[in-house]
Amino acid sequence: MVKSIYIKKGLNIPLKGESKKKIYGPILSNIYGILLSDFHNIVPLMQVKIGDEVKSGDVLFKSKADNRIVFPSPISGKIIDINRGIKRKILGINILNINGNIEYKKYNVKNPKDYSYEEIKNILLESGCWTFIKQRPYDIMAFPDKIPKSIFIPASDTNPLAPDLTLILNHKKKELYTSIEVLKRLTKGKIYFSINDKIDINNFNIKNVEFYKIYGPHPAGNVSVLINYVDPINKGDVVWVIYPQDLVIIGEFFLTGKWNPNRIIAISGPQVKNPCYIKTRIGTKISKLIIGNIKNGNNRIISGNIFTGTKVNYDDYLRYYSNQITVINEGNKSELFGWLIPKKNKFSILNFWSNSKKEYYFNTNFNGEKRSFLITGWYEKYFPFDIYPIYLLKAIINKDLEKMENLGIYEISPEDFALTEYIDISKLEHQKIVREGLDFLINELESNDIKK
Amino acid sequence: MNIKLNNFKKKCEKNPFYPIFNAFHTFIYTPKTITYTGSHIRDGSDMKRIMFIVIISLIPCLLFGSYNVGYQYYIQIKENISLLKCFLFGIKKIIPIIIVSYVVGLSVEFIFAIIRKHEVSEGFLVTGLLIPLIVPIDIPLWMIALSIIFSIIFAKEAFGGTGMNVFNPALIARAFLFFSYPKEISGDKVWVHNGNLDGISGESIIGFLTNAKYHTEFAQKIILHNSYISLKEIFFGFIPGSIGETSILAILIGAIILIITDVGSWKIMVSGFIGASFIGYIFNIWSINALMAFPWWGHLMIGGFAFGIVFMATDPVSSCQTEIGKWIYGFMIGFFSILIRVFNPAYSEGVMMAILLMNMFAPTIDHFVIQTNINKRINRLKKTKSLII
Repeated sequence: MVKSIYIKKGLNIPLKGESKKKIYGPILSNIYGILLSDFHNIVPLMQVKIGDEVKSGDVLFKSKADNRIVFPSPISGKIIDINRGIKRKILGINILNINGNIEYKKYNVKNPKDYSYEEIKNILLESGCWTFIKQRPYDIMAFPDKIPKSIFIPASDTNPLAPDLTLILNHKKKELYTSIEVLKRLTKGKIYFSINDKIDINNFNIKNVEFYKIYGPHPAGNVSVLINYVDPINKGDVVWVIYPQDLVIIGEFFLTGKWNPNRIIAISGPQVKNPCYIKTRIGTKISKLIIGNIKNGNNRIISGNIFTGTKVNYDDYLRYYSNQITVINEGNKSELFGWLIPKKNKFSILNFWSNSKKEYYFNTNFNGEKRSFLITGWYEKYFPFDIYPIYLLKAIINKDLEKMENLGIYEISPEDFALTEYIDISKLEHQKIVREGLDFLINELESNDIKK
Repeated sequence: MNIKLNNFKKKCEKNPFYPIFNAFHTFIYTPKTITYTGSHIRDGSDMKRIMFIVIISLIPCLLFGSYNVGYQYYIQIKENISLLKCFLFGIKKIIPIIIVSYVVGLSVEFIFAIIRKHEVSEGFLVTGLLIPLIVPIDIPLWMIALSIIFSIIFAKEAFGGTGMNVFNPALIARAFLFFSYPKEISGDKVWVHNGNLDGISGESIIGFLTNAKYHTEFAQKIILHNSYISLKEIFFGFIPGSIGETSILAILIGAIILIITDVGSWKIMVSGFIGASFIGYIFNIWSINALMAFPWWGHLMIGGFAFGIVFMATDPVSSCQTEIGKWIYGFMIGFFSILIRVFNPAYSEGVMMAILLMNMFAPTIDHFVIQTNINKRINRLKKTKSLII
């Protein structure tokens, strides 16, 4: 039984360069990298040093706040570098794998049904599968001691050029089923599975899960929309969010006992010659993935989508949670009277000639300067929550904790503000503001949990 | 050329006059700043474009106003009228007002940008054109200058600049004129050029109705019987009044531009007209004097009401910010505009007062709208907690 949700507010960004439904690969590299900026609020406790040999699944570092949370190596090989920044802060770890053979750390795994709650939690923590479990509120890695009231699996990505999950999950049905069995051990509440109209759920034989089909423009596919619709988060509640590709990795772990973080990522964007899908591994070098497939010009490579992704270089690595790589043009060019002259190939919500069915080349120019909040009623049109975005943002800027709570900060995550950030005429950084607000709340309210 | 400008800009970044240079530079070339975190792409429009759209929407009013200034003058001195002659006469009168408005206003903005070290905001580009459109044609230029200086300093910069102001700066400028120099901005002599000369009657319709000693029934039929002024003249705007406010047609074109681009809130406009019609209709039933007896739909078309509700009440900064609040806010403006107009003949036009009054109450309306949202959340929390217990 699939229930439907119709969302009207929002906008699909007509970005050019959707990936063709063909999977290449696997593409692997010699050097792999794990970057610590992927793990928000995690202070690492290193377990390896330069020169150590590690297997895939061996612990690289632990969380200083909670030693049970460990971060496994995505590949076997030799630790060749630990990058440090200012004040010797650890930025990342590089692992060299020369011949392409992967050695695995072996775990003895049973059928998920045979585990108790404590056992399955421990094995998730021990193996590193926990790193894929995110919690709301705060949009961070889940606290192990809190029991979620429900678990959400968002397979309804509506971000620009989002990868087609049917294509990816069709090969991994068994892994998916296994991991959903795992999740059932973890909550007494329901498991919600959101899909969009691209996915035909009859292909999958998933039981005891509530399906919601979500129609409408971005941000309809964001998991917050589903959470707000079916089971809104109140103060004190915790729900978990796990993305489908991460579930596949967890599922594979419970089937084979091996840590094998493979992903199928979409290479997309207007600056990609041949947009396609590539089978690869977390931490693979970016240059290996896109070499020869990028158009000439001043490009920005984004690990992730254009709304929430991270800017990377050729020398960087595929980010831990990224399911796609998007390449667009840098926009560091001035335009003569750019604000005034109407342009056919510049998409704007203000231009009534802008057609959202046509495809546009977007670039990274700000297209303006920062201003204070001015135009009202625009954010609301692209924000399908029962929340007043301007008031929430203002409360966050003022660090007014009570107001933030009252205005519903628990119900949203930074990615929900990506679209309002895009349309903002005042060119403010909404996602950054919301992230700071959530971090402020964590420090004020959850500091005991972290110190444990 | 732009590379040279950019290099020069880098050199003078610490110069106190940098904001002014930057304002001119970004006016000519869009800056080449790029995103680095968050959303990697940004919409193609910016604040300058929004302000420019408002200016475009004001152009019909400005053009028609220029024509009407000449037309009203020539018709009074009973000279033969050609379209071009009227237009040129009006333009010659209006251009100095606009120039003074922009030069004085932008100077004050620049000075504040230098002192407060912030960017020059585009807000005044609209305010600077709005002010000339809402004053009588013979207003002395020094008064314009004085009122603009007052309004920018006390209504805008004192609160923190564009986006922070409580009141609409253009209306504050007009209110300043209204209370400081009532002779120049009210009465029955100022609405036509050289109105003080004998033989010229520059009376506005509201003034006429206020002073009407006629029987109420007669007043009710003024428009219908074409005895004083025809409906067509009122709609197209061939009536005395402030420079840009007379023509309903021109205002309508502006309103359509604002609504299509979504720069002005249609909710405020619609609810404003509903509010005015509502109170106008009640007065029609009551009808003990000429102003009350004047048909409710006529009230929507005379005076500065339409101009105020379309261009002033929809100012996003000083109006309500919640969508429900906008309905209430617009309705109250319409309601109070006609109420003040009818009950207080000393203020011949109520829309300015009504908007300023509601500007003050907009945050209060918003507060209650937000509070309902907060209460909903608190109730939900209570409900789930009681379930657990």
